[in-house]
Amino acid sequence: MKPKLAMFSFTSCEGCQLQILNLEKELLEILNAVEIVNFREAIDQKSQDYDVAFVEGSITTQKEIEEVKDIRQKAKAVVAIGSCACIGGINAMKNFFPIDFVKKQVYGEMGKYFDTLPVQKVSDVIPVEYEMHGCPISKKEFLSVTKNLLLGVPLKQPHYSVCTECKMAGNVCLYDKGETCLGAITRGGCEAVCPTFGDSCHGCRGLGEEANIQGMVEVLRANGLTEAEIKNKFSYFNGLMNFSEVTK
Amino acid sequence: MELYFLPKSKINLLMEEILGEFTVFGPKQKDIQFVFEEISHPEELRLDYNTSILPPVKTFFPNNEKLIAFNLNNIDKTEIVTNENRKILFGVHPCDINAIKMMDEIFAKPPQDEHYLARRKETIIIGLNCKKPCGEKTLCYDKGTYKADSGFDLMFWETHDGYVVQVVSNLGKYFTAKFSYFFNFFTEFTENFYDFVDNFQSEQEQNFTKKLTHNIFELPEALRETYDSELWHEIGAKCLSCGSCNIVCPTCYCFDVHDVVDLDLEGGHRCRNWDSCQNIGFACVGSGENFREKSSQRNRHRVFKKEVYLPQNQGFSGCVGCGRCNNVCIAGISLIEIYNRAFELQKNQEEQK
Amino acid sequence: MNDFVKFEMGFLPVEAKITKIIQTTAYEKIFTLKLPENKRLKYLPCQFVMVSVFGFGEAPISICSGPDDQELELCVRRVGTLTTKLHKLQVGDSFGIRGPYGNGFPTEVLQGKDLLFVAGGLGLAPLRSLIRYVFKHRENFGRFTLLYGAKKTQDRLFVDEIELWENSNEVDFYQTVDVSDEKWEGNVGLITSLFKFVEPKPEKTIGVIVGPPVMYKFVIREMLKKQIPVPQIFMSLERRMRCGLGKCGHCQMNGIYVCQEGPVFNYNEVKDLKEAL
Repeated sequence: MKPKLAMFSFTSCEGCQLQILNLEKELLEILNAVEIVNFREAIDQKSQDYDVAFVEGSITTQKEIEEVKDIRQKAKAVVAIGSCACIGGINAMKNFFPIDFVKKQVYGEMGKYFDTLPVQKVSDVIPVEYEMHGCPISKKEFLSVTKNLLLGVPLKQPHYSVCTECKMAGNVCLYDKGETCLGAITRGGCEAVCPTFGDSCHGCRGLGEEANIQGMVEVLRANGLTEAEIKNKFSYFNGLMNFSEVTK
Repeated sequence: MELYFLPKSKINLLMEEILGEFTVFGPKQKDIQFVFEEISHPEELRLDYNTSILPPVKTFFPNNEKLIAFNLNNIDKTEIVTNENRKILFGVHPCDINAIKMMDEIFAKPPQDEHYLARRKETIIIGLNCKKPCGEKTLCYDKGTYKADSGFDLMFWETHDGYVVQVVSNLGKYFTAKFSYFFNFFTEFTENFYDFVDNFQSEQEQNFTKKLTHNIFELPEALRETYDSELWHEIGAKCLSCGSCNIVCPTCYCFDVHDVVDLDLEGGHRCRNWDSCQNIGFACVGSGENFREKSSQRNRHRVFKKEVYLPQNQGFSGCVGCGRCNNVCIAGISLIEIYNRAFELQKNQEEQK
Repeated sequence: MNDFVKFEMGFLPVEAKITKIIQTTAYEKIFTLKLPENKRLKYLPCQFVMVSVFGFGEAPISICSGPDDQELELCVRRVGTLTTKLHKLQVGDSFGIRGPYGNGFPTEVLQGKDLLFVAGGLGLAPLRSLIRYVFKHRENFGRFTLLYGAKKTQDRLFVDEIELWENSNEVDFYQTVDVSDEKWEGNVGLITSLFKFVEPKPEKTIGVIVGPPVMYKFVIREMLKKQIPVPQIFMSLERRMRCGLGKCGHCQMNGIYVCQEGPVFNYNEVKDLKEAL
């Protein structure tokens, strides 16, 4: 019997699911090996019986907490996908403000009727087998993780930086063009897609193991960023981390 | 040795011919810099380039190179993958020629690396001498690697309207014979070639400058003394462990090995990818022990490998002074500074004695 | 038949078929292997092979059988991707091996000498190759002392052989565990605590140490206390390896490639090597 995969979406733009759909050709090959039983963007069917759950989005309501716990109970493996699910991502900016203020900003006077909580990443609520980082996730990583799950190969995070991959791609360093970039301390695995197409790295895959944050701050300062700009740069995707020690 | 003269006006025509018969790698523009990549149109070739982001030698040691092809269900179907096709590296600067010579020795040292050697075999290397340094952060003059005595098949010496082409090997002769139409026989300069070289070199002497306070031969000893010094902690605190210095280095050859399985879950390849000794897990063993867990230790290892261990084991320095690592480090770590600091520390220690 | 061979074709592995599996501890299994055409691997004690399962990668594993043994045996601890997969394999399954690699033990230095072998934890696996060599040629050596330390009683490898060693008059065998249990009547304490039982004749003793990285400097200190001269102390070291061919750089400690110049070193070679011990 083919293993059953399910896709679930919480607070997010659902762009990671779209990345998977964009695989088109490969997706047909994957379907030889697996059955997809839950995939809101692709199929109507909904099943409670699945082996691997890919969970997208961060957890921001009590209802989501219960749902994701239910998924954990049903699935043999849970893979958090995308920045929202793995590190809080852009959503985590919500946590910079008091919850009542946020409710009012978004929903106006109706805000008080909404049950909303500070943003949590999926692993804050349930244990996960793997975190597939990125905003959005890398199609290539989705394929390799799926293959490894099918073969029973343990999943491991890339241990190199975005910078490493950017140099491998033979890119002109954005610092040489007068820009700043977080690629040096950001976990790789994206094949440096943003710098390759001219955008700087915003750290969407989370910071690498034992990232030298202090060193990165010095580099950004030396390149003319103000303390506020530095803080914003770090907090863009990694708002759940506390950078107060290094930025004034 | 054969000598020819190639007018600049004929380069594009020559390239047109060559591209019809060979795969050519050469300098071409990418954004505001240059890369050393496959040339598809004659006008892409930019012999006026300063340096390339990745060095030419990586043509023989590509990232994610397939080593063996395997079948998950049948180990008897395993095959070694090598890639052999005649190609030309056009416009390799002396520092990079010296790097290729070094990598040739490393990969040919038993047990030989057949993957590198296959790609290297039969490759025609066309050197391009530098009249001036390509940037502020190079060490090629201190290292003597701003020129190359061997390691090329042809060498191009730039003049105001063309190139003096020096042919030194059989592969080089094969090349000029094949495209003889383009090479006006270089009669009027033949007997004066050494004068020409003298002039070229005196121009070089004017343009290149030393960056180190001491002679390069004193470096291994000076560095040895720094092993436990504060210098490495300072460097370690600045370093972001991004690995860029290793990736752009023409003499870094460390790699990691990984398996890639096809979507049919049957076939696949074992591949190697460039690795960096600055990555935190580089020296981590199965039991979890990390033999270089600190950034300071990893930085020291990078420099020592090039300037202490390789001279000691192989008799040559593992740095050709191309300056790529210095250019690429956003934290501003520079070998020039490290080496001069080492000399300074040594001097201070001697004075104390 | 039974020709001795090496498999040194770059990264190309050959098939090793599992003929027997012994679960020796909760984390370690001993695999007995059959090579293509019943060939026998030509190796020295303390050499290793690169073991691989396609899709799961490759890693260096020490050979734990003796060079004269009919069967090739590997002892594998379950720690990572590859070794976890190896532990799931059954008799009749295959995996890839290539090698042997490394310098192996210079057995000529042992001839006519008293031997003091010290193994900690999984270090007993590579050392067992040398132990079996010594037993096979027992008449060539003087007094043979073997010290073995494990974390817990149930972590001890090769327990059947340990029983033989305990009752043998060919070897003085002492063992210890860091943490005992109710059934354990033997020594409790670190490996160094066994040195009180040992009175070697230093000038004619060769010391050999194999164990986890943290163990070496303490055991070396004990050996030096017993006056064993530096050139008579040998050890086998473990490092991360990706190729076994002296290229990938992972096994380097200072200027030395462990896969080529090691894993066996004389203490003289490594005592001033800061990344070694």
